Amino acid sequence: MKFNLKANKIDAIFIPIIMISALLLSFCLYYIPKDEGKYVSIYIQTKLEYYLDLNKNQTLILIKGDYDKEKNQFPSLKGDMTIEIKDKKVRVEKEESPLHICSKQGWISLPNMPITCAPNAVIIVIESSQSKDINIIV
Amino acid sequence: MKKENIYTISLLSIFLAISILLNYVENFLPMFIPIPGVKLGIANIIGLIVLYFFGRKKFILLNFLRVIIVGVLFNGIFTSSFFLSFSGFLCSSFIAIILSYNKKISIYTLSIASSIFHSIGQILCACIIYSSVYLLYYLSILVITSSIAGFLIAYISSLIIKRLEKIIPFQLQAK
Repeated sequence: MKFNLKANKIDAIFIPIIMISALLLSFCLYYIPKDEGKYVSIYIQTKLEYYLDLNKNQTLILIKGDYDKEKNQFPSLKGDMTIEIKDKKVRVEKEESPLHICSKQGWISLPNMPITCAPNAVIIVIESSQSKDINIIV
Repeated sequence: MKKENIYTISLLSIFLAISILLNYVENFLPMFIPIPGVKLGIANIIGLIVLYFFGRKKFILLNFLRVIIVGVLFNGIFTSSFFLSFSGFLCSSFIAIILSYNKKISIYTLSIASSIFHSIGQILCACIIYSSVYLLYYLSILVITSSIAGFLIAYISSLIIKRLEKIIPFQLQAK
């Protein structure tokens, strides 16, 4: 099944269309003004476990172990995970995973990009004030 | 068994082994953009080579076996990582097969489209697994990085294919 090994006219049309579409999509997601984040939602194994105040500096340490919400223990974790909220920003400071993608992602401060730690099944999202009404857990 | 079949099976086995190795080695490459799903996908070089020389069926078979074997060896079978890889494989292979019927399509468009659909497949699967639509935000970055990765993979693959054309016997190659 042979196909062209050299770039041709189709590439000259297709590649710029894709790149422009992707850049427009990125622009829409990042640069269109959004409401300031107010809360941090932490989902563990798809369940919303914590709903924290973004304006309050705090550190949450999640521990690997049998499920016990009072002790911050969750079975899906590969190891202990430290989540830090500081100056209206949130980050995963420390975690156990093969590539450490979520701790390398660093601080997030806007409700446009979650922090995902797939091996630990943890998703951290900043919610704006217009987000769903829910009681603050911590 | 015909000598040609033995030769084809041997070559495909070598390609499969190399693709698994590349898949593994990629984890050790430095990650410049710390976003889930961002990777070069160097194992796809082998996929494009097999599609070019051996046709669609063997291309699907090689990619399928690679996902299964990598799952069994490294990530675990039927884990979230496995399903993410598998969904990426399904989407990227589907678009590659569709596009390959158009003879005017070049390796660049094929590779970029395949790479983008791999990301789309993975993100959609991740949204289902983690029950979160927030992951769709990653798509904007992934489309850009996939386009760049797809272009690089196509360029490298075309260089290798040109050299392999002189080595792989003509009668083994798909018409």
